[in-house]
Amino acid sequence: MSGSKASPVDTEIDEETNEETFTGKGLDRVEDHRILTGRAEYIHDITPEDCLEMGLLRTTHAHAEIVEVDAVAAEEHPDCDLVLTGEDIAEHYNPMPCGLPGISEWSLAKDRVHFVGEPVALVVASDRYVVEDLIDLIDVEYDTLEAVSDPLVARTDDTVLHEELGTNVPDDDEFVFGDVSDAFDEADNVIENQYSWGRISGVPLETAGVVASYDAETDTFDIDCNIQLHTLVDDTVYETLGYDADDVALNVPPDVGGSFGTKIALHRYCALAAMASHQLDGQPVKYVEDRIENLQGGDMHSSDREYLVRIAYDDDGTIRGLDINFVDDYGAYPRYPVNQVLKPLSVLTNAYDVDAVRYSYELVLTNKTSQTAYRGFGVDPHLYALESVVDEAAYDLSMDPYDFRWGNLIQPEQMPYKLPSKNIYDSGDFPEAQARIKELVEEERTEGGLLDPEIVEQRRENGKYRGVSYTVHIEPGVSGADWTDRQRSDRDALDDRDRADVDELPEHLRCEVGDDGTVTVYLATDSSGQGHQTIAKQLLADELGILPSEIEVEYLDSVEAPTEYGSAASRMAVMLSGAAQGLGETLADNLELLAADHWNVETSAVAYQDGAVEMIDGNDRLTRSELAEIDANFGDRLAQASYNYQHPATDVAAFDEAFVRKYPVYPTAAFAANAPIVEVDIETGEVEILKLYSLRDCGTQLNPTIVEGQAQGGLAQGIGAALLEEFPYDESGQPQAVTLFDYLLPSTKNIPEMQIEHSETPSPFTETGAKGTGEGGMIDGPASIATAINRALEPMDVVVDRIPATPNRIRDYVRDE
Amino acid sequence: MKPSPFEYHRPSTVEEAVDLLADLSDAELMAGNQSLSIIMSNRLATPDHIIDINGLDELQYIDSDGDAVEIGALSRHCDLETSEILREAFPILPEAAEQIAGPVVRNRGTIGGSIGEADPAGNYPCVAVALDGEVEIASSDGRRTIGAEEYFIAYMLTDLEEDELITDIRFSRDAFPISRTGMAFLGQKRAAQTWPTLSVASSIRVDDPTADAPTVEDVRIGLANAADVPIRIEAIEDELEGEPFTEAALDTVGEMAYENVEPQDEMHADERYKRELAREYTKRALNTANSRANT
Amino acid sequence: MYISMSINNSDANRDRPTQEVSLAVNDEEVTADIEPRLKLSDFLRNDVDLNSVRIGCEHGVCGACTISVDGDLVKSCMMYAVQTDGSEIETVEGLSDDGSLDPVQEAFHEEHALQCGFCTSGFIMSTRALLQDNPDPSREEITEQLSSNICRCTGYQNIYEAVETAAEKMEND
Ligand SMILES: Cc1cc2nc3c(=O)[nH]c(=O)nc-3n(C[C@H](O)[C@H](O)[C@H](O)COP(=O)(O)OP(=O)(O)OC[C@H]3O[C@@H](n4cnc5c(N)ncnc54)[C@H](O)[C@@H]3O)c2cc1C
Ligand code: FES
Ligand code: FES
Repeated sequence: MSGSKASPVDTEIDEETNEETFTGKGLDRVEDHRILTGRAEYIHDITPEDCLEMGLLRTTHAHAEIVEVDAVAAEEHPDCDLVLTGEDIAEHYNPMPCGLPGISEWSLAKDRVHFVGEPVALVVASDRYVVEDLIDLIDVEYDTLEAVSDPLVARTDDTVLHEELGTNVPDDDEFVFGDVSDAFDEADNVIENQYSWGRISGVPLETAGVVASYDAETDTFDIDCNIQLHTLVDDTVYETLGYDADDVALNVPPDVGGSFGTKIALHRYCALAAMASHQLDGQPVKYVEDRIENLQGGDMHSSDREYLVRIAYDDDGTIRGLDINFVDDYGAYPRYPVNQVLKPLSVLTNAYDVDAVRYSYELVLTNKTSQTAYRGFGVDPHLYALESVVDEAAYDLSMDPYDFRWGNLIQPEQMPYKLPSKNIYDSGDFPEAQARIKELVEEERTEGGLLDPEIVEQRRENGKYRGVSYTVHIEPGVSGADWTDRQRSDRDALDDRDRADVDELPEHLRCEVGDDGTVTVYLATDSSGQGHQTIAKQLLADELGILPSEIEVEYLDSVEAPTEYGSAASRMAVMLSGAAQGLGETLADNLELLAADHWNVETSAVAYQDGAVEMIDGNDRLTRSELAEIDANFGDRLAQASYNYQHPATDVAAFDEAFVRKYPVYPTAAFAANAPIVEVDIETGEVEILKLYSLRDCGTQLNPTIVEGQAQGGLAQGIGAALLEEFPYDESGQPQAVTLFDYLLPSTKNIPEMQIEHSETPSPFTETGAKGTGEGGMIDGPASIATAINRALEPMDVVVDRIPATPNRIRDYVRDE
Repeated sequence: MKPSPFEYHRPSTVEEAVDLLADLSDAELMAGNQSLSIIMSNRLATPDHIIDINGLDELQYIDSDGDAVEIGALSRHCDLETSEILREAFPILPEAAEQIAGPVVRNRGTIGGSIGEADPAGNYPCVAVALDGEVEIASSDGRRTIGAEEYFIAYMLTDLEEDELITDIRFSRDAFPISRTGMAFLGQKRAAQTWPTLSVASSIRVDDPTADAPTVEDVRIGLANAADVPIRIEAIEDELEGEPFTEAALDTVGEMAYENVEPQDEMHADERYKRELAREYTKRALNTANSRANT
Repeated sequence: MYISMSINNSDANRDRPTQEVSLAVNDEEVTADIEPRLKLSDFLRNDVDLNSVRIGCEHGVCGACTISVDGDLVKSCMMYAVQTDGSEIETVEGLSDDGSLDPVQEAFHEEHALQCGFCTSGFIMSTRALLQDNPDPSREEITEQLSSNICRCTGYQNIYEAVETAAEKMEND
């Protein structure tokens, strides 16, 4: 292996020449056929016999006491099967587990509503039309309360959302790495600025859906749903129901219409549909969230931050220290992704070599729908704020931001590089990436190019300002699990924790050989478009020396599967490859044992080879189907295997410090150098991205087609975040974007041509050299677009301090210049 | 997002339709359903009766003679967009049509529905106000015609009575001899399928396009989403008429647009910003119209 | 070929008025007694079992529900099923009855123009309609046509490729 040197890769694959291995090739996705022919079964398509439908009455108040819920008219209607209110469910069930202790969140509001769209009652009837008729018959009387929608106001605690908590700031923390005061005292210059990151989210095209059935005989629940991480977050459902993990099976269909993290927190819907089925003696109950519910009260908004950032730097452009403070508006309840405020620690200084960093946050509650995870998991705003303040420092020194950045990059010989916050970048040549992206764009400066100086000048005379910036971004991959409960741990005790106390979650994979020799592999994760089935086939085909078509892929439900993390945090490429390797070896060993047993010889006399077991002397051979048959007669012990792949950082002692102190552990550092070319119309404030160059490196690519797809899709979301998307609220807590007319998703008209190049710097920490790369463009897109706008508006000394950079906001910057 | 129950009627003539309107209480006309369906799904509208006028073939036409262009109310946005007659005689209508949503919405949405809905951000309403469109209306009592400017009264409130149906939108060609007239419809639309933040409909007629500095004879300027109704700014028209077109005059009328609009704050466009857009798009639309008049 | 299929869900409608409609869906005759308020999208999904019709917004923006009615593309969430009495409807299920792929579907697969796939039916219908009218569309024409549909996963680049590949395939057919 060429160590950690990046090599360019050709993503065009020639099907003819890749007979030996499947991994690393753009194998066609096995998921596609059923989708293309309309035969895929998403959760919205699942409707068992006798299934009833559920709908939710949602409040239009941002903050109010519930005086009375009068559901008599609905209940007495002949079409009504069931109405439940907050009072009803509190009698039988539990509040939903929260991301922080001390707060009870009920799946239907009890006593008080805290955000517009919060469900107050559920109604069940034969179909959704009737359900909505019945909802109209329910009268709720409220006493309205003062609402607070500005997190900076909320943190003063004048209006407290949860009296039992006594504050709107249920969590905050401060981390000081290195000698920050010295750095700031001694540096030649210090500047301080504020940046806002607007409330955005993943908004997958498919909304949430659940079909729940209670089985009275066994007193268990079967819940089909499109929740993400069903084997990890099943506790949010079974605890709410008051049942054991084994009694509540969450099952996710093989096809999910996108999630991007947002569907991790669907437990409210799962629990409510389950309660309804429970109350109806097991009749199945289906719930499909509609788009307005989803946008306004679907518990699915994400990071919403106000940053205050200081940077200390010398006259020669050396960054001496960073001081990063922010307030993150979590909405009404601190739900599971509270650690979204911590993940940026894993890329604390981005690609820069800086030792002294202070990082602090306050997690604030307001009268808005709650936060969930979104692709990037809090890193996207961090990189945006950081790159923006870097621009300001460069401006301050009248230095080209390219040079300023260049001088501070982590050097290849520093790899693996330990950040002040103890996470480690595994490999990568960041200066080379920055230089390469600039080189790619140089062509645009020649005659007729987008940046041809003559054209740029001409356009500028007409009020159209062009610019490009070059930024390098790190995408942390393959999250550990242990650190994720940091905020629910005794933080003072973390300093003297033992390595042995660290509890990581492995990735589980199992398989069995069928009568016809087919190997069925069972994933313990769920998928939402990432092509896991294809990748699992590729990996295992290589491990077993068989064809992908000889492998079937299925999914385990939350009861069958062990508790494990699943697909989030750019984990799957690495975790699946490790697991597949282990599983392949285990199965081969098992089959050898079986054959040796059958032939009555030592195992050393047999060998697994290309899907079968042979006698080493060549005298006999058993195929997989023969082995399966033999095993069936012996009680199904060996024509199957199961494997738990340990998290790769657990073997690297250098991560111990991060592990024991519960700092975010992300052992792979995929990276990207971006150069968007933008044009800003200074009279209207409109921004057009003319072309986007991106150089991306996620180590060894398991499937270049899928890697490329992830890159393009992530960048499109980054563009949406940078320019279009936002969930604003007015002062009274009313959401302003509750349809797709107002929450603007990028269409073909907003996405420019993208020129994407890939290099491969293998990770020394993972089995295949792959790095996680599920989040990429959404992490680095917004920061790079914001800095490109800064560059375009350089003559006006503008720095974009709010995302999304809407035309109105751009005008606010430039109108007085 | 499911509508409440309604009874469905599908007349096949205007006469049947207006009789139904007269007979039924709480009835709503349905044309392309590209707006109505949304407020029915939200249950902001819960009519007892839906009168589907998609069967009124008699309202689906685009005609032009020397005097006027006439567009049947049931003409779809895609019909306007691709109409050779309009491209020839009244090119601002295809230009306004092609900027509505995406092609699939344009396959269904109608000009009658757009005028009936009277959204102040709508594309056709501001064209109609600027270019003296006339709305022809039928009821069981007979027919009447009203000028667009009187038709739009206040925010989504029009002169249309509950028992009336729009049959036709008519534009007199008198003021717009095509060889000496240029028209332009421009605006800001932040995403393909959202309503524009602000748009401008404009027209300029000159005395002699071949002259060195032709005199501007007639100017029209209408703005959408710049007030609670589509508005026309006659002061701008007066300012430009009777002189040759100049850059300096453009700056002046830009400022007039800034002053004369009455916009409301909305999510991503505050009042001040909308005034700026009014200024800028007024200038651009007039500039484009002028150069089109001179070619 | 016309296969007849009769749907009676009046059971669910209790005493609300219903109306009978008769239409051809993917060349299959369908007769149903339905409430007038039933959206075409819901009718096709729930009553005719055509799950390729996907619902992403129910307000005309996402395009996941795009189908063809009498040869025109429409967003089926913005029509009522009663309106389609006597119409001919085509959905993705009608493109391939033996499980084989038509050139547009093939091209989407080859170019990796789908990830989660939730938008895919709408894009296939839009692409087919485009290529029927315009066998060799420019990038701008593709941009315009597909601006009726939203894809949240792919970033559109591969969708452009797929449309162009499909155009080539159809030309060579
Ligand atoms: C995604 C999307 C984006 C859009 N973007 C734009 C845009 O940028 N600009 C724009 O202008 N529009 C836009 N629209 C609206 C679109 O133009 C609608 O088609 C139009 O506003 C309504 O026309 P319709 O035929 O669909 O009317 P319907 O929705 O059927 O009816 C609308 C109203 O008009 C009444 N009505 C209909 N026909 C008549 C008639 N003949 N006489 C009297 N009353 C009648 C109805 O009773 C109803 O109250 C958009 C719509 C969508 C879905
Ligand atoms: S569901 Fe019809 S357009 Fe979105
Ligand atoms: S593939 Fe997921 S929305 Fe298009």
